[in-house]
Amino acid sequence: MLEIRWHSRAGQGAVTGAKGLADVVSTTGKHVQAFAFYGSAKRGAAMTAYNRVDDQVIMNHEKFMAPDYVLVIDPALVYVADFTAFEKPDTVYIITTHMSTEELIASQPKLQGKKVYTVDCIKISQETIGKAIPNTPMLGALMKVSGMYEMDFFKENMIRVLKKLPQKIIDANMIAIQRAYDEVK
Amino acid sequence: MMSEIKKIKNLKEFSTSADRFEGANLLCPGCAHSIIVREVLNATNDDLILAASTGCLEVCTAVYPYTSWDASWIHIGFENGSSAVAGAEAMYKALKTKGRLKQPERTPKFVAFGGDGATYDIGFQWISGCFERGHNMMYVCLDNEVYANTGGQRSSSTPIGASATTTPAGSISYGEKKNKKDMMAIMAAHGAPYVAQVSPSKWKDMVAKIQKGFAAEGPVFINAISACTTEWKFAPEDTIAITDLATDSLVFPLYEIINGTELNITYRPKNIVPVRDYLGAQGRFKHLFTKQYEYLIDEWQTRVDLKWEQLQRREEARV
Amino acid sequence: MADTMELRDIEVWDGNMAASHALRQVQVDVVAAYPITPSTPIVENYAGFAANAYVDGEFVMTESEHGAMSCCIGASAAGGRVATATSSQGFALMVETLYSASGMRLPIILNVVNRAIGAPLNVNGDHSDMYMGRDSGWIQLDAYNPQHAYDLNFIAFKVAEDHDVRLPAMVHQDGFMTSHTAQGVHTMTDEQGFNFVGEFKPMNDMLDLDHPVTHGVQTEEDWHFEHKARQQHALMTAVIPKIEAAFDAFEALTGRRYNLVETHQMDDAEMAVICMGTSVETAMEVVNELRANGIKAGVVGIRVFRPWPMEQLAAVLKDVKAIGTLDRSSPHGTMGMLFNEISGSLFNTDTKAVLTNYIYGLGGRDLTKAHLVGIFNDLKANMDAGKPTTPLQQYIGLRGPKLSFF
Repeated sequence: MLEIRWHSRAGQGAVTGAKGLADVVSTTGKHVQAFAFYGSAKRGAAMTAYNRVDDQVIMNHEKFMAPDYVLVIDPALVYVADFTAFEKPDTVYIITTHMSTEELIASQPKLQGKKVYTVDCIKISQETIGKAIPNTPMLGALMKVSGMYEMDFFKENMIRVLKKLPQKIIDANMIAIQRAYDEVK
Repeated sequence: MMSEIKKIKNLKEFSTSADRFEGANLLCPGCAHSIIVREVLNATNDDLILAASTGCLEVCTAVYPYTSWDASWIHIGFENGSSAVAGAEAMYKALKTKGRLKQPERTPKFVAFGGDGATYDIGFQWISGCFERGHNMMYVCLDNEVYANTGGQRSSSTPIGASATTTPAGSISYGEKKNKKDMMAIMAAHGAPYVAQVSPSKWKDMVAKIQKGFAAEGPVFINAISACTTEWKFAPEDTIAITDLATDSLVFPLYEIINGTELNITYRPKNIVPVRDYLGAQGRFKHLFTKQYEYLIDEWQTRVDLKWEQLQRREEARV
Repeated sequence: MADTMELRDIEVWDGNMAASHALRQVQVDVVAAYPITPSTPIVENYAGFAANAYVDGEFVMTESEHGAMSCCIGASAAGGRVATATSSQGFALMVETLYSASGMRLPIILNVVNRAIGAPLNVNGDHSDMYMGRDSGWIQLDAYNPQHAYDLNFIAFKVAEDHDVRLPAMVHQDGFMTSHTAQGVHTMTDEQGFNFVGEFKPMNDMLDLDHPVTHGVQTEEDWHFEHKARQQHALMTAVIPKIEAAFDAFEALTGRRYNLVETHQMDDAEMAVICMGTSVETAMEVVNELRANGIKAGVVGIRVFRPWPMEQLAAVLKDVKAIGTLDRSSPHGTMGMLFNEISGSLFNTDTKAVLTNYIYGLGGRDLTKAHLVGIFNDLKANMDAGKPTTPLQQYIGLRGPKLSFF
């Protein structure tokens, strides 16, 4: 079982990102789950979303998760959210920030000694999609760090997942995914 | 078959039309409800799909294993006769689209009946919803200004000074304290294509309005005065006389509003009767004829005069 | 004609999307609905289908849930396929009309995305609304995941619209835990899905203009009892065989098997938990882990909540020594519903299991695998002692001092 927790602000697309990832993974015959914690909070509120991936049918519906990957798509959440909750010794962190990995760890000591990767999904999405929607670039970074799928396969499936969007936006998303794949460190 | 306007020559022919509402019902002797319902149903030859809200009409016409209805009829609850018929109308449209109507050449009319309690009070939200959505239906309020079915409690249609069981007249109270809600204005404000006030005693005016309503596309509201022998406290044989007093004193003026803007007064009494005569004919206003409360009769007259003036101004101004 | 939609064999859908597609595929004639969290997406998705020619029936957005079910009743009595969706406060507002729909024998399908009922207001999943509906005369089917939410809709239409049944049916799924959780859902083609349910066959339809019918009559002391008894008779005798037949037909079509009572590792189980919704599956996973340690634990899931499968439950529980009933609704003044119903189901049998009750998950509070392991530890102690070693009613996952009763 592979378990992923997203930290995001409502409106940044973590639920869409988690569902998109689940959709892509499902095409490879694996079993998936994508869900989120909801309240009545509006745009901008800190929230979490989740993925489970397994070769077996996933029966577990508990919300509790000890994640293998923690994806933080809003830079400020590493200072205000409990993003290391229930971490495992080998939990991997991929964090959106304009800082280098070293600078980030220096600013947030909780990350010391952890497997930490950084990528500026906000900047990438602003420069490609034209809006701060850091969910799809984060998936590009995840592909690089996890080695989950070949980039061509992933992008081909993401085009299908995003098919209701205008072609221009789909193209921009593909560039964003590739840039995050290339830039994550 | 396109629906056509039914030709009605005289009262005898009208009153002996084939009944889809049977005389076999349990309504009180002298109840105006049955007269109104017959006049609505007899105004058309088209098929009818009917609904009723909980109330006198419902409990007296569909007591298992009997029914007084020779047209499809449904009752759910007190507040939702409008939605019941709206749902049936939606199904008619769906089956028409899908080609599954059993008699596709016929065009039934959808009519909901409700008392003033079901219309002015508890069912108001549902009616407003149906009118906003624009269902092709007619809603007929049988307005007897009281919860008659449950023994005479006040509704928001009960006029000032009427003694009802929940607003009884007493040594320090003249009965109902609030003016009757102006349901006609509210329904017209929905932008309904046709809204009209009718009286069963003015049957030609009523039939003309019902037929106009059936010819309109969209939701139609009809407010029918329904003099209640039991709760208004008059002799059963006086129903039509009391109703005439209501229209001829202008307490219950007859008019229509087209598309929410065009107001037409449809009946101008040759001799306008004093409101005092209307009030004096009913036991529910008996206490007004005392020294203590007599001033209310003058207030009544002033209010009726003002309303009549306002209606005439709106008619002239075409608004 | 509505357009056909091409689906992949497996779509990643949440429970709401799954239910929406089922409504689309059976070609509902009238959907009258009012949005409420967490069932809103069912209504929104359906509106999207309507806006893009994937459905050709009428879609009526009413002014309230009461208005929605009122329209559904009028539409169903008029003679066609009718469905809607709601949750929580909306369900509560609808309750009056639920009794009308069943009393008038109208086969309306209601998707209930289970949610807590305030006060205090809470948008998350528990079973308070589902429990509120249990005396309303509806068939109630319970989904544990999005696949079930899809499949059980087809079962519900097939059973409810059968002329020997003519009763409305609810398809329940857990708010958020199923409704907003995307998982792989095996789909049917539009043609397969529609053909499983078939064309709607009207009965006593108001729109048959040559045969007027009176719906929703008055009955006082002379006939009311007979009407209600007939309704109960239909629910108690006609429904279960039809559901079983529908489950068989559905398995033949899709390979997916449903049962009145779902069991996991119950053949030799010494102790069992009984629950509903997503918790059933989480408990199954816990039981797999306990079994690996040689603990003979099992799970019983209620699939058909109404009519209550009393005989089937008595049969699957006959050799069990300790039972934990898990209720996701506050019983307010008594034992949990499952405790009481299981007690009633076992009382006249030879089963002498120790029976205890757990209240859990109110307002969406997580039920973790660790909680379930703790419950099985309690059951083991009860089994060994041959009597309750804990209070009869305990709270799971509650912060603060331990709370228990009886």
